[in-house]
Amino acid sequence: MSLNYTAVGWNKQKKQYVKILWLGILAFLIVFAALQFLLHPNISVETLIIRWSAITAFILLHIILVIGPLCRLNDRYLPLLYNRRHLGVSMFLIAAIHGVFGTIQFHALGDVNPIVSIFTSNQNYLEISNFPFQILGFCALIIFFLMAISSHDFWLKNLSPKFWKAMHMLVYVAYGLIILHVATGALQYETHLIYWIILIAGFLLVASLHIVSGIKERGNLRKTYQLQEEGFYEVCSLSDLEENCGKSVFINAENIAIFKYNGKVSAVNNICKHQMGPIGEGKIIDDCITCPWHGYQYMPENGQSPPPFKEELSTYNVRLLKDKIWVNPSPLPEGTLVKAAKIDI
Amino acid sequence: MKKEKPFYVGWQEEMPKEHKSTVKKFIILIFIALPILAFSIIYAQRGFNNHQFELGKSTELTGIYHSSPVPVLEVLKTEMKPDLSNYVMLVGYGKLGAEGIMEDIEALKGDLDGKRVTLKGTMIYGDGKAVLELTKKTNSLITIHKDVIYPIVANKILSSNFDNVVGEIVDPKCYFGVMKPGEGKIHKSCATRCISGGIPPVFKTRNFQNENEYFILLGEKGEKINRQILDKIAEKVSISGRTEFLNGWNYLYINPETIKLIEE
Amino acid sequence: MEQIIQIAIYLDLGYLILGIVFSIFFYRKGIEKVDEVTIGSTRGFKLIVFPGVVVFWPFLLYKWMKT
Ligand code: HEM
Ligand code: FES
Repeated sequence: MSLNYTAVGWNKQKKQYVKILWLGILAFLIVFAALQFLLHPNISVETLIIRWSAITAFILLHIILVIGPLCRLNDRYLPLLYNRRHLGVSMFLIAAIHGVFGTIQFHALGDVNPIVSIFTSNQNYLEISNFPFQILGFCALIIFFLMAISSHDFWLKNLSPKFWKAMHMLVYVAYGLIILHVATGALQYETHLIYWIILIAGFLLVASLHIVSGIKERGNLRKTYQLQEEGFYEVCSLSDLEENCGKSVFINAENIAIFKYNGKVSAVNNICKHQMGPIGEGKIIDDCITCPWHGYQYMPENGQSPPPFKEELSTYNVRLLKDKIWVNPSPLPEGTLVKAAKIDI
Repeated sequence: MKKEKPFYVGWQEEMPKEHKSTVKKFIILIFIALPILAFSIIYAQRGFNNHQFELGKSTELTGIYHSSPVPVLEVLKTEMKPDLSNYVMLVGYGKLGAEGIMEDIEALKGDLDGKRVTLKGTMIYGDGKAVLELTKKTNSLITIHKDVIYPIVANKILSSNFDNVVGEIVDPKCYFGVMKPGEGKIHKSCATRCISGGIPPVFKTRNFQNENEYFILLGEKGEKINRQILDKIAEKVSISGRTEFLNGWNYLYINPETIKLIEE
Repeated sequence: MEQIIQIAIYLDLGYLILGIVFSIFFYRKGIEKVDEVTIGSTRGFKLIVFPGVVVFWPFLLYKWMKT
């Protein structure tokens, strides 16, 4: 949502985010290297780099994956989500260090091209413990690469949000690949139980947070709205809505956000044009509905972004009968002006 | 009036303090968890052997060059560290054997077998064994010494047969110092590359004293079998064959088809 | 197997080289046609989307052709 693109739209929060992130990465490097040299002075520098970068990228990947569901469970985590792309790109860079060092160390300077070697040096595809684990890491790295190079909003718009979102959902595929990469690779050599505990605990953390937040969202969607008249459904009372705040309702497969503001009630589509954020959890700021995820804005009566922006949401007809809000779930074309329902006092 | 629900938008300069405190807790939690995680991971590592690779430091060694069964340089005992064998195995740069390089040198300078030469390269050593990487390829030959011809017969002992001895096939270059770890699953692909590139495969096993023993693997007629054993590297295997001690190294002559993978 | 992968690597390389060639024209003309928001955008922006242009060039070409 900027007038023209810059490489990174820096602001104070973003600077702080990136600063803390790289401080953490650096601190972890120092602690990791110090402990290695202390406990295993025979380690080689290459192995140190390969393992540090692997584990750092692995941890970052977990942080990236838990932020989404945490935000769905509690919106106080939203500041972590807002600049998450920086986490993603940093994770890719560090994973790339691991991948490049791993490829050079184990595959380069031989009798075939190192990438060919990744695919051919071990062809036990049918055995789990002997599986060529590097291929799994390689494929995951390609996915992280595609995500990293398309992280600018330019790509979201120009690859189409649908394709972009689908591509970025591949992170779950990549996560699965990485779990298998570790399980069939490093853990076949480093056999201490603690590694399995860490790997499984990490997976359970990510999986359970997704399930819990999914159940919560499902619960919101499950509600059925019975009362119906002329295509309008009764959804809630006025008092269920706080001033300048929204509510998400799900009627006839339509995902709708209702807002109360300035003595009026309006309804727009609940799915943000940016990255499908939940509009209904947003708020009215400067007379505009503001998406909670990245702050895209829409005018409540016509669903249009304030000029010069061009995003538009579908709108819905709303009625007030006493203190009950009624909504007609047939969407009007995106950007259609709908008079807000006035609240009589 | 009711207090408004705190709302966060990323393009604001400041976030609401409710959000700030939650995020702060999250970050602190991570910063506490990280050192604990690092410690448990590192503490639980298997550890690494003390083998050495003198990367960046070149060493000149003078001795008799033996081209077969695998390229070895026999140096004076007094020239080597006392705990290292004075029969130094030669390997190439990267994941390649020394044979190609030695052949190129011989094409230029004539036959070197049995001659006293000075070679320059990078030392690799561990567990009593020494390996020299011919880092500079054909420029690794420094001098061909013109002296009396020494007989090269001594030192040959025929020994017993191996019957299903259990161990692992490693590549000696990595195992004796270049890589940590230089064996096992993590290193499997690299060992495959090295052996496929001509570095002599070495069978590593344990004797009754629980010390490591190393055997260079050759075919039953002494031919190279690098290509035939690629799928048996870095695995637990059992091997049968005939052993021999020659030029400071143990050799094991086998039929590569008879190597058996041992399921764990 | 080795040959298949070798061929795949060459094909990928060819694809990326085409992407680099495409990017020369794209930065001269196409980028502003495909997305007018890029008019007046910074050099940093152009640099940061460069790897994407090289990889996703068929999408951009398609969009460019449609304008
Ligand atoms: C070209 C791609 C890759 C290659 C060739 C590769 C290779 C390797 C190798 C050889 C190891 C064992 C290293 C050792 O323990 O000494 C390893 C371990 C590991 N890799 Fe990868 N990897 C690749 C991509 C990735 C990616 C993208 C991740 C993402 C996070 C990753 C995460 C890990 C982790 C967590 C370990 C276990 C920790 C360790 O022992 O180092 N790898 N990888
Ligand atoms: S999803 Fe990004 S602003 Fe709405």
